[in-house]
Amino acid sequence: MAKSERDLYGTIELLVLKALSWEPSHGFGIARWIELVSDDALTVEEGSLYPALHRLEAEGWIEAEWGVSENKRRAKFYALTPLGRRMLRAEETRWTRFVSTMSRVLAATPGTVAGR
Amino acid sequence: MPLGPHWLRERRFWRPSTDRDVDDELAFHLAMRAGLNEAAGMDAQTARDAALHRFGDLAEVRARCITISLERERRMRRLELWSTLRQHARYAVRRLRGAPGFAVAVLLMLALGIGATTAVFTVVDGVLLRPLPFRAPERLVSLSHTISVPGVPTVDQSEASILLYQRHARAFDGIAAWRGNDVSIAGTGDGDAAAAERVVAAGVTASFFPVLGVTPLRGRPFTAEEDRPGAPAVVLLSEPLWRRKFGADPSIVGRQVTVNGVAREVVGIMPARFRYPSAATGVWYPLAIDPAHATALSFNYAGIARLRPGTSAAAAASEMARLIPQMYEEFAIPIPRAMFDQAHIVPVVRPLRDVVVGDVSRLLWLLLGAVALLLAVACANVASLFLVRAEGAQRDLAVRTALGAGGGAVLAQYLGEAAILAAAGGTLGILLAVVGVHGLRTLPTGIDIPRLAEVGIDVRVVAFAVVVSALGALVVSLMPVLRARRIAPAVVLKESSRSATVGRDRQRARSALVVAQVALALVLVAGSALMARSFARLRDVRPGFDATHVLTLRVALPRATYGDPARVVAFYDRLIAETRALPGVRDAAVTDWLPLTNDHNDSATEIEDHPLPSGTVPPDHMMVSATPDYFRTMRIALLAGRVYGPQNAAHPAPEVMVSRAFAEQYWKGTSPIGKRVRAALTPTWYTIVGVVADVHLTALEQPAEQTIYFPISALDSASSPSRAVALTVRTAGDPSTLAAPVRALVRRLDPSLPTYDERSMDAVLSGAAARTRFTLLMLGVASLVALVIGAVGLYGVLAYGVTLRRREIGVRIALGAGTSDVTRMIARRGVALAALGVGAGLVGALVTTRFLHGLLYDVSPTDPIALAATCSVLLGVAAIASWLPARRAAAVDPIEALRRD
Repeated sequence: MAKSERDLYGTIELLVLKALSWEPSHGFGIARWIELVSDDALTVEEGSLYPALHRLEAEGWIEAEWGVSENKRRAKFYALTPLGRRMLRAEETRWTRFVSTMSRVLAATPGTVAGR
Repeated sequence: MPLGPHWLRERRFWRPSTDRDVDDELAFHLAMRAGLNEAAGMDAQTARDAALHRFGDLAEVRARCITISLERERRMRRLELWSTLRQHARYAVRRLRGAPGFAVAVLLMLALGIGATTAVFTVVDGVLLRPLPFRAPERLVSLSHTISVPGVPTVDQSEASILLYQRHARAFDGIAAWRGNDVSIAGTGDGDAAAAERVVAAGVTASFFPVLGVTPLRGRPFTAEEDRPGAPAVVLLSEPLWRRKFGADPSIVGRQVTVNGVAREVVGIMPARFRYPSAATGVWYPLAIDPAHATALSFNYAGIARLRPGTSAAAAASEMARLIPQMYEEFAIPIPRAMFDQAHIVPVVRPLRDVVVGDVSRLLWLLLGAVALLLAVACANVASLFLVRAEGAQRDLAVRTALGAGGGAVLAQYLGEAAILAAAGGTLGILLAVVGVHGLRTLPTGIDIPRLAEVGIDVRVVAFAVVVSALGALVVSLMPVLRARRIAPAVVLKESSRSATVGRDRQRARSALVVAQVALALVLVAGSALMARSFARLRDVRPGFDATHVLTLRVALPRATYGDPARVVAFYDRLIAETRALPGVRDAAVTDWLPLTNDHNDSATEIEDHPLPSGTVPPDHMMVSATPDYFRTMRIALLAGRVYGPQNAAHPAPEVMVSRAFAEQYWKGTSPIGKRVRAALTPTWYTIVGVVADVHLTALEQPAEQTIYFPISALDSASSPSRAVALTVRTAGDPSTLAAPVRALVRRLDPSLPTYDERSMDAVLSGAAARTRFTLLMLGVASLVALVIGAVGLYGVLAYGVTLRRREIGVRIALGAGTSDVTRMIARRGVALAALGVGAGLVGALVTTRFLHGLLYDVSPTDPIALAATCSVLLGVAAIASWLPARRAAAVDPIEALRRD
């Protein structure tokens, strides 16, 4: 699992897990959700979403099932597994801590350390 | 039982392939994005292009997705398999723990069967199947001849024949000769190495090592120059001898050692794995055949050769046959041409391995057959144990079948149980085999199995055990399952578990297995009985001498110090005189052919009053040299005439004695005394002065030889006295107590002489029956085990039958049946089953015992006495095995039996 945890520093897996935490969705739905929620600010190449999905499926964090989309087309729907949900919570915490640490570090001035 | 994992089921329904899956998924994404673009006002083409652009490298994404998915599926499949296996194993272990008696019984049967089979297969594999440890061993052949001379069907090579083939034969890459003998070896200087020691040696041609394709561990092999008369004396040592006698000192190479009193330079050490001509060979030295004086008709050398690639043994033999007439022209041959042609020398080329392994192969295959039978008996027994279990699991199985568990699931359950037991039994069996092979190698079996030192448990043998166990598991697990599936579940579920109908059906299968066990056991017991009869017959063979209270030990006089025949004879005279003076010694004598050992000497013989037509090859006879007191010492009965004199200056008359068989051959009904004989091509006629009883010289199994006895001191120029002889000592008490004094005596007479091969004559005699005894022991153990297993099987089937019929028996007793009626009813069934097995087994025995031919002595493979004894033993054992459950049946309490339902 060590390898996959490291992979999560890439943001795309975390985004996928977060997207699926609301409801099961197909790949395009996830891409669309990221696009809408982030005001298109986080847009990467949409293609890289799919290897990430397959990787997460292989790890057992999400599972896939073929279904019918809102416009009556055959589509592959992904859903979070219980394991995936746990991983998402852990990663969210880690990410938040990382971001706040980084913000503190970036906000610091040279005098901050010397003053202690 | 799960029907299979979620993903597998789904995939089976409508997922054609991983590729198509990924394509569909990506196509859906692009279509959705294009649709969105079109809704935003783009035309169709632009919308699609924009979607593709936004997506990125489509081909690469597709490839990565496929890779990840395939990897995942592979892993899932592996995991699924493991978890299924683990689940079956856990379930099987749980079930087995609930039936420890069953598990232990099956385990023991399998371990015993597999262990015995593996042990014997190990030996068969190492000795018979594995190629010789030489380079390209399939091209190595042994060269010998058949010959038309009375008394000698086959001969090896003579100096002339080897030289002839080496010069002219094109079919070989190389031809070599060797001649085995024993030598005394001593190191130079002081210390332990300086003491002379008797070791097995081989004189070899320089081509010997190149033909076999071996190189020394240290030093070098012999050069062609060293293999000539007058060349510097050299020697090669074996690794074990080098280690033992010279402390593995590498500097020995290049130094001198003394071999038979002659200094020889050590040129190399042969590696430990090189054990040819025999495992005991410690010394190799060059034969140094002299082409100018090559003898043509003394076939004293073994010939080996390496066939040229692509040449067959038959082609080589026919080329050699064409060369034979040339021998007469190239070498000095002391017989007329017509006689040479009439001897009809025909070359024989055989694979070297066949010759090395020799006649022990028949014995080994036989043993493998015997243990295979034992394994079959054990498997039959295990199968019937499984049937009993199937009985117990009847309802369980029916319920599962009714609930829709497929045949596969039911089969998997039994296979799981059988596989666990087979794995455990196989492991135990391999351990048993290791112990067994070790025992076979180290215990004194008395028979010489060639290459046994090379034998070891290896991967192939373990593979053999695994295959055997797996087959065993399949057989025992399939039987009850096939039966269980034949019975409709409804029948079982409806009927009471105590109902007899289904049980009786099953009982028939178990009965069939019992019949098979009895039949197989009978075949083994019959083999043992025949061997036992052979052994008894062999014990009854009178060797021709009295072996009790006789000590023998060998001495060898080196030619270097005992070159003068008179010195040899003087030494023998002194040795005998001084030995006789030892307290506890009755008599002592010296002979060059101790009966029933590997000693051998034969020669073409002329009989004065039986002249042969000119050109006829004279018949061959055994020749023994012995001092006059030999016959008294060995108690070989003098039947007519008198014992010859010592033939020395005081008594110069050339006299011999002959065996009764010899006298019968030529002078049946009349006295041979006064007739004259001589070795062919020698000048001196010897007068027969006495006839002695027949002595088995080579083997108890063979008729006593037609023998001529010469005084050992015969001062004939043609036959110098033997220098390697056995001293025979008749003692008043235990012969072994005299070994040390006699040894000390020899040392006092000549400290440089080693004594060796100290044995009582009783030991020699029992060694002569060693093969029969070994075969008997092996077959005996196998048949005893088979008998016990068979008896247990019979007992089990009857005892279970009594349990099944408890109610019925109770009713019978309640209705007035007596104890003896019930006992007879049950026992009759057991004996009937056994009788069926005995009948089937007899047929099997009649077919298989002929494989014993050649190992039996004076007993026909269909010997009625042995077969009758076998049948009665089996029926007797069956009667005992039947009586116990019968007695239990008679003790059934009717009230209790009837109340139980």
